[in-house]
Amino acid sequence: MPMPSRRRSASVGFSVLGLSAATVLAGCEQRVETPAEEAPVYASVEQCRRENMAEDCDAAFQQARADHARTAPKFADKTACEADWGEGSCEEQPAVHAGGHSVFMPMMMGFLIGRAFGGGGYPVYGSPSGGLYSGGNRVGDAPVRNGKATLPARVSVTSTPNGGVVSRGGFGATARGEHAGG
Amino acid sequence: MRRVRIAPRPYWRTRVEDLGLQWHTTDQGEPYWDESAYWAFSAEEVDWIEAASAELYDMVLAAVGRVIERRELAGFGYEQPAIALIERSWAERSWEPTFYARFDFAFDGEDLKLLELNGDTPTSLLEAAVVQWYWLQERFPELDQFNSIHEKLIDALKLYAGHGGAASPLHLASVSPHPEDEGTVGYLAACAAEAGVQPLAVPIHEIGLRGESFVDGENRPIRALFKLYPWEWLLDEPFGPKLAEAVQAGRLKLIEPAWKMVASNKRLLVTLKEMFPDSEYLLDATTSQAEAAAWGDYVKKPVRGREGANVEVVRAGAPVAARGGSYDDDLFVFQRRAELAQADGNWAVLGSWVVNRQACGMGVRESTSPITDNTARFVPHVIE
Repeated sequence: MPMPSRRRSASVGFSVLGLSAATVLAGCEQRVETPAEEAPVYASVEQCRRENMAEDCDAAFQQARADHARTAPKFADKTACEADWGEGSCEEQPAVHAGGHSVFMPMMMGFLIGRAFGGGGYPVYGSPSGGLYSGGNRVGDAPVRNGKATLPARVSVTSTPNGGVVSRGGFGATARGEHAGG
Repeated sequence: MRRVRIAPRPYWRTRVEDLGLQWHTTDQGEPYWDESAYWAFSAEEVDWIEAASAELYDMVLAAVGRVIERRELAGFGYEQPAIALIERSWAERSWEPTFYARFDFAFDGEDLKLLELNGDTPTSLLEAAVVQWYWLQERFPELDQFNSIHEKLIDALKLYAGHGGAASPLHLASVSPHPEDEGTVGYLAACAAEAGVQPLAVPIHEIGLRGESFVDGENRPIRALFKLYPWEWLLDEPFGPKLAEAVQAGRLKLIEPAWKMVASNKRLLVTLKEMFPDSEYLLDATTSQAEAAAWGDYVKKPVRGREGANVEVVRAGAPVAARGGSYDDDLFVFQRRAELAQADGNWAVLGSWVVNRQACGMGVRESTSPITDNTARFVPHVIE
């Protein structure tokens, strides 16, 4: 019986069909490898000055302190903060709005200098589980001694063309690995 | 319409895998792609389904417009910044790319009724557009199928490419690892490449935030993002506020656009019924449980639920089926119960695809329960 008009696709063939989706994507992607950068980590300005120009260290430290107040993870009470960052590792946020309740955050353990980020300084935090964090990113390991995180001498951080630390993991939690279509 | 049993192609697994359908079997070992039967529709039935889909899509657009103009979004469960995003995307809808949507119908050959619309994150796309097309080609090359989904998707992506989409890569995000969601996004990525748009896949959890900008796992900036991930989830998660800012500022375009949240919200079923009380395609729908109780037969649905979660089927005042889920604190609507097609112990729901505002194909999902969930089997169809 002749069809008055075709209801289906004339063809479903394109160059990539017949390959798995994963292969398709690998073929499409032009992977741009962004080299990881080795960034030095300092516990203090003094330690930094032994290796670098004094004014660079001062600027990096100032920037890290400012970032710390602005971007450190915040907790409603000290117990919650210490649960994540270890006993004696939290401080009260210095400036709380008038009449406001106190807010706690982990102490800045030191700072890293990202040369590929234009030499900026970024605050780092060590957790008792041995992770070193900056800007919401795990940037390396912090060796644990006597239950306390210590600073490594250097960490590898992913550099980005226009600077800034990338944080990830801000999407995906609702799905918990399950199907998200419908 | 009728259901016909048939022997599966002996090599069906490798065949569908070759087409990218890796999720043809459930974790319980049951077939998800099920070619041990097919549904046969008459040309008149297909005309009916096509006309209904086209008409309903226009009705949905009218209803979404009314809800936004009357500032009723709070009644749909939305707060800021979702409301501002929806309003902006609607005001600029001519420039907001949308690829696809899927109506779910109850159809038994006698009545054709809208169950709901998935306009934000529809799946079973590869199954409908590609896998059943090849099945027909091999099984019944002389017959036709209501399925030009693939052609229309390529057209939609060419249109997107022509309106500036070719200028920067299109990122496509999904849950990962997840064969079904990655496979669906992988298919759309292949369509994009065919249409001249550079696709870049990104697992949803690898999306990064650098200052005010979003980047993929390799720190390439994301400017256009197709997300197989509900808007509501994105906005609720830690990066949600920054996402809202980036979209509002025009630094980032999301596909599907934010107004598709409203199109998919089951509260819209009540608005549709108010606006088009005489439409033969609409079931009674209400927000009042008392009103539904007076009907006796109804289905209770969370307005933002998916995959049959938290759906309850009530018959003659008594619950006959219910699904658990994570939407129990959502708002609910009550829809008069419709008869689904039934055959060989299966309930069938019809998925009708709209691409670029054109009704262009369908797929049948079968379940041994009256509630269709994400394990409902995909069964191919023919026009006879």
